[in-house]
Amino acid sequence: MSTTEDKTRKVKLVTSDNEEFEVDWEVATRSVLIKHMLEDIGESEEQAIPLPNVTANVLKKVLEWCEHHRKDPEPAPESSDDNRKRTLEIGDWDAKFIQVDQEMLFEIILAANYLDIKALLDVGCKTVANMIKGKQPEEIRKMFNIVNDFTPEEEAQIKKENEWAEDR
Amino acid sequence: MSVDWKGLSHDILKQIFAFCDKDGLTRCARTCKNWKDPSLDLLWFDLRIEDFEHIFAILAPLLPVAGQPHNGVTRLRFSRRITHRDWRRFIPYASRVRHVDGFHRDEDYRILSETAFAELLMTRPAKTPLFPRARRFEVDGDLIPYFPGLKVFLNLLHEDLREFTLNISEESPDEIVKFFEEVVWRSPNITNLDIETSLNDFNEDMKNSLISSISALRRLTTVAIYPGLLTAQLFSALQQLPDLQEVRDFFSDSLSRAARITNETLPHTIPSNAFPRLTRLTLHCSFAELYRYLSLGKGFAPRLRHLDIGVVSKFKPANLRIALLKIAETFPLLEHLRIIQTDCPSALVVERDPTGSKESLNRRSLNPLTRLRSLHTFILRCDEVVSMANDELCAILSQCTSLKYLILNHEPLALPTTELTLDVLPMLAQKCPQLLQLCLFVDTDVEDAETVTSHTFEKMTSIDFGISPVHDKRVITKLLAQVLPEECILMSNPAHTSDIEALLVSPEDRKTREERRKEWAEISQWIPVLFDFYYLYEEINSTTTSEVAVQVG
Repeated sequence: MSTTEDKTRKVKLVTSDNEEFEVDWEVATRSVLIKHMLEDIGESEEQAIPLPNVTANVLKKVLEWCEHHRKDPEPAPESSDDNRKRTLEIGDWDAKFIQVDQEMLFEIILAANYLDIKALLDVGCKTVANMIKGKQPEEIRKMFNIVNDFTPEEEAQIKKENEWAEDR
Repeated sequence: MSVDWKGLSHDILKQIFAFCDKDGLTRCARTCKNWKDPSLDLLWFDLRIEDFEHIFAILAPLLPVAGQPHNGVTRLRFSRRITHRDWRRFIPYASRVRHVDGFHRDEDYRILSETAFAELLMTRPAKTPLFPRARRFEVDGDLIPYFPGLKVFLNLLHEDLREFTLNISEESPDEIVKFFEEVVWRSPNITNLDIETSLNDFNEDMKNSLISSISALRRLTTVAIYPGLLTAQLFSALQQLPDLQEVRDFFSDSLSRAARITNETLPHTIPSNAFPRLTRLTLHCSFAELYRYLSLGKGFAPRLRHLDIGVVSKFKPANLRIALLKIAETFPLLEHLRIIQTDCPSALVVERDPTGSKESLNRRSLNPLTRLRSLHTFILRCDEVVSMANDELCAILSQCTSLKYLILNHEPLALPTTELTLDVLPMLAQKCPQLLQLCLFVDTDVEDAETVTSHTFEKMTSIDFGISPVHDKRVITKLLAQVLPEECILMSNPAHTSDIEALLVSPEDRKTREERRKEWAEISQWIPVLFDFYYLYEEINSTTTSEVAVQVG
C-alpha cells in the first residue's frame, strides 16, 4: 500500500460500548496496535476494528489527541532497559488536553497503554508523576484513594532500607 | 470501570515511576504493596559506586573503621555479624540492580573496608554473583584509594553480563589489563564492549593480552575502542568475530584529531567472508593503507552501510578519488560515508603552506560518489577546499538520488577561494530536491538577479555555509529566501572544536572565521523577515488582481 493512498483512507473503530468511529488512517495509526491490526487485515477497508478495552468517551478523547498529533514524526525506538531521568515537561497543547478529572486521566493511561500510543502514555504518566512529586506516602494514598496494606513495621523497614535516596 | 490506581499493572506503574526522581520512588514504594516492587526496581536499577554503601547497609548497619586515612575516603565495617536472614533481605535488592557504574568521580567516598568485604563474601549463601541480574557494568581503572576495587569488581562478573566498559587508566594499566582477562573468562557472553584509555603507550605484553581477551569474546556485536589502541593485530582479531555488527571509535561522534596514530592499523590479510554481519565500521588509516587493505579480498563486510574514516595522511585530491573508487567498489550498498582528516596536528602545522593549499578537491576527486547508489549521507572534512564549477557539482549530485545529508567541507582550515558560488543553490534545488541538510563552502560574490527562481528545496531543514566569505548580505538573504523553505534553519556552528582551531589556525584567521560566522548568523535572522515580506507582497498582488477582475466584470 502506498503512502498517498493511506492519507485518504478511512478506518472504522468500534468501542466496547458499540459505538463506531470513522477516522483518517493517519490519525488511527498513531496507535501501534491499530496500525498492526490494519496491516494484518490488509486492504479490506470495510472491516471495523473492535477495541473491546476502550469505551466511546475515552476513545473520543484519545482520538482528539491523535488528531492533533497526526503529523508528528515516528518516535525513535527506545532501548529495552529504559532509564529514568526523563524530563517531566509537557507541551502546551498536551498540558491543556490532560487537564481532566482523575477518572479520565486513569482511563487515558490505560487506553494509551492498550492502544500502544507511547507519546500519549508519556503525557499521562508525566501528569501522574507530577502529582506524586514531593508528596509523602500518606498524601499519595489520600490523593489516589489507596488503602495502606503495609503493617507499620513493614513500612518502617522499607523506609530504612531506601532512606538514602530521600532528600537528594 | 472503577479507578484503581493501586491495582495498576507493574508495567504501567513502571512507566509512571520512570518520571519520578529517587526521592519520589522511595515514597511510592511505601504507598502500598503493589507499588513497592515497580518503584524499587527503578530506584536500584542503576547502582553507582558511591551508592554501594547503601546496598551493603541492607545486610547490616555500617560503621566507620577506627583510624581513617585523611583522603576523603571513609572505610566502613559491618556493625554486627551477617546472618542468613540478612542475605534473604539483601538478595531481592541485589536482583534489582541492572547497571553497575564503577566510575570514580571526585567525591568523598564511604566504602567497605577490605576486611568487611571479605566477611561479606564469606557469609554469602551460595556462589551466586552479587548482582545476579546486572547486564551492564562500567569499570574505571582509576581506582578509589583504600578500596579493594578490583576484588569487588571481580565478584560482580557473571555469565549474563552483556555490556562492559573498561577505562584503562594511567595508574595501573597492567593490573587492569589482567583484570580484563578475568572478565573475559567469567563473562564470556558480553556483546557490547567499550574500551577507553588516556594512555598513549602500551607495552607489547599489554597489547597482546588485550587482543587475546577481545578475541575470546566470541559473541561481541558492538565494539568501541579508543583509536590509539587500534592496531593491525587487534583488527585481525576483530575480523575473526562472527557476530560483529559495529566497530566504532570510542569518540564516535567526534573522530578526534588528537589521536596520534602512527602505526599501521589495518592487517595484511583478510580471511574469506570477513565481517559477515558488519553494518558499521570506523577506520583510522591513511588513504594508501585503506586502498591496500580493501584490495586484499573480496566479499569483505557485505552488509556494511555506515563507514567512518579518520584519515591520518595528507589529503591529496587524487588520493581521495582513488579511495572513493575503492570504497564504492567494495561497499556498493553504503548509505553513510564520513571522511575526516584526523592527521597528527604537529605534522600538519609544519606541512601547511601559508598561502593556502594550491590543490583543491575537484570534480574528479568527488565523481566516484555517483557509484554509491544508496548513499544517504556524505560528510567530508579536511584542509583542502572543494572547488569546481557549479554545474560540475550539480552533475555529480544529480546522480546521487538517495543523498539527503551533504556536508562538503564547509569549514576548510585555510581561507581559500573556491569556484563554487552561491548561485549553485537554485541549480541544486532543481537537481537534488530531496536534500535535507546541506553544508557548503561557497563564493558569495554573485549577481543580484531579479528573476525569481522557480526551484526551491522543499524538504531542506538546515543549511550551513561555514566560513564562506560574505560579500553582500542583502543579495545573499534574498537568494536564500527564494530557494529555501520557510522551516529551514541557516546554521553557523563551528565544525572544529575551539582547541583544534587554536592549534591549527593563526590568530588573524581565527578572527576572520569568527567574523564570518557572525555575519551568517545575522543573515539567518534576516531571512524570516524577508519571508514575511514575500507573504505580504503576494497578498497585495492577489488583492489587486481580484480588484481589477471586479472592475472589468
